[in-house]
Amino acid sequence: MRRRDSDFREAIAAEYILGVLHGAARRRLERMRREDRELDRVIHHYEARFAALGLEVPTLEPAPGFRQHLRQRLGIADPARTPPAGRTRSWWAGLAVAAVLVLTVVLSWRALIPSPVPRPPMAVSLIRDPAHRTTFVAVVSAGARSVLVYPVGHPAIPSGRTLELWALEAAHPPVAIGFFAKARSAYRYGMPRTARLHLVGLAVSIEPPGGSPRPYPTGPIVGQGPMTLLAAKISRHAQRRLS
Amino acid sequence: MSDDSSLDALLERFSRGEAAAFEPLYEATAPRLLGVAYRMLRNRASAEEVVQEVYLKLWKHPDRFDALRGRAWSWLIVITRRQCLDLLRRTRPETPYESEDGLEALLNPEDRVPENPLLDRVTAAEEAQHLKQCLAGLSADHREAIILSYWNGWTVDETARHLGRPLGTVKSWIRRGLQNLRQCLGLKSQYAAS
Repeated sequence: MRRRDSDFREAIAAEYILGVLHGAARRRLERMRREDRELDRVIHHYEARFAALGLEVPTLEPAPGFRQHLRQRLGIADPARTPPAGRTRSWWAGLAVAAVLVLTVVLSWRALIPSPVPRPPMAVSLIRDPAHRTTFVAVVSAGARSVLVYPVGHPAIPSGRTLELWALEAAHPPVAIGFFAKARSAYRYGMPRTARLHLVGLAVSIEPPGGSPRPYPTGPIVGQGPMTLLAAKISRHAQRRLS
Repeated sequence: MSDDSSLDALLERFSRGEAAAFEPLYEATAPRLLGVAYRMLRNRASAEEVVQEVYLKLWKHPDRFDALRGRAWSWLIVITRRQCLDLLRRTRPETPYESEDGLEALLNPEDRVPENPLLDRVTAAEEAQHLKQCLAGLSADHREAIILSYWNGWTVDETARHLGRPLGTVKSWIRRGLQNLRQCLGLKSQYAAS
């Protein structure tokens, strides 16, 4: 009995670390580990063992400015940029005055001129494979908050691989949207916030299980299509009907 | 990559508030932590935010890292992954998953998992290799279900939907896969201790 309990304790700790315990079960286990040091130790043990997976993940170079921003948040001065001590206070004072002035002008301007809220229209994309066959039809919601993707036929997914959908933006790297599971008639994804404003197309790549380990496609691109604004087409259609 | 002992020392200095430790610690850890966060969140801006939070936590709560326990890489990756999971759970609805055996049944303070004093001396790289071997020993289905759950923070239901398999099947894959993985890791630990 005791052996079985011990096995179960380890099993539940492993499930917790894996992340498959959610909701009430997760909260209950977290409450219990605060009262049971042995359970807490088992969880720490497995958490540390599983963390070794992180050493297998490809590294990613931080964006320019990331280090400086982090320094600012930590309150650690950058030796290369620290101004002479006597001038620091006056420099900050000048910056504060400038900021107040800019804010005043902006607020006044906004109060005088009603700003229309730009709302990107609904758009569609026909994603075609290299042989120009349509493999997916994607419909992007108004505001580009979500995208609904319909497979045409049954796209072939190589064994042990997954298909990943990407948002293509003008002058920006692609942004991962989601994966295509097997045998579904449609897929709905939330559109990443960063991809909403400058979306120009969609692409599909073949990636390892769990998706590309990099912030860009690492496998071959097997489908690609530009966005077509539906609102513009509707508008032209309406104009023809009216003329 | 820094070895564990020098990284332990850097982390300890940084967590004591030594600003001079920031630069070497950042150089040694930022790209890997960012890689881990990106692997989970699949969004560079969110990943960078999470990694900044990890450094802030360490800087503001110096008691968090215990140099005596060491294992700096494990600790950093665990903290980064927890931050990512918190973010993922805040941004999507929870799907309850109850363990079939009932959680209350597990708690018996008299049970002890055998201590392995040699385990703490095993380097992070050796652990990674060990885990990799154990994962490679799993069946492809079990391995994929476990990897997907670990890196995406998915519920069993979400993993099942992604794989296009029934919920019960995937639940069984994860349970059996974890069981085999624990056995593999446990057996190796016993060998190391003997």
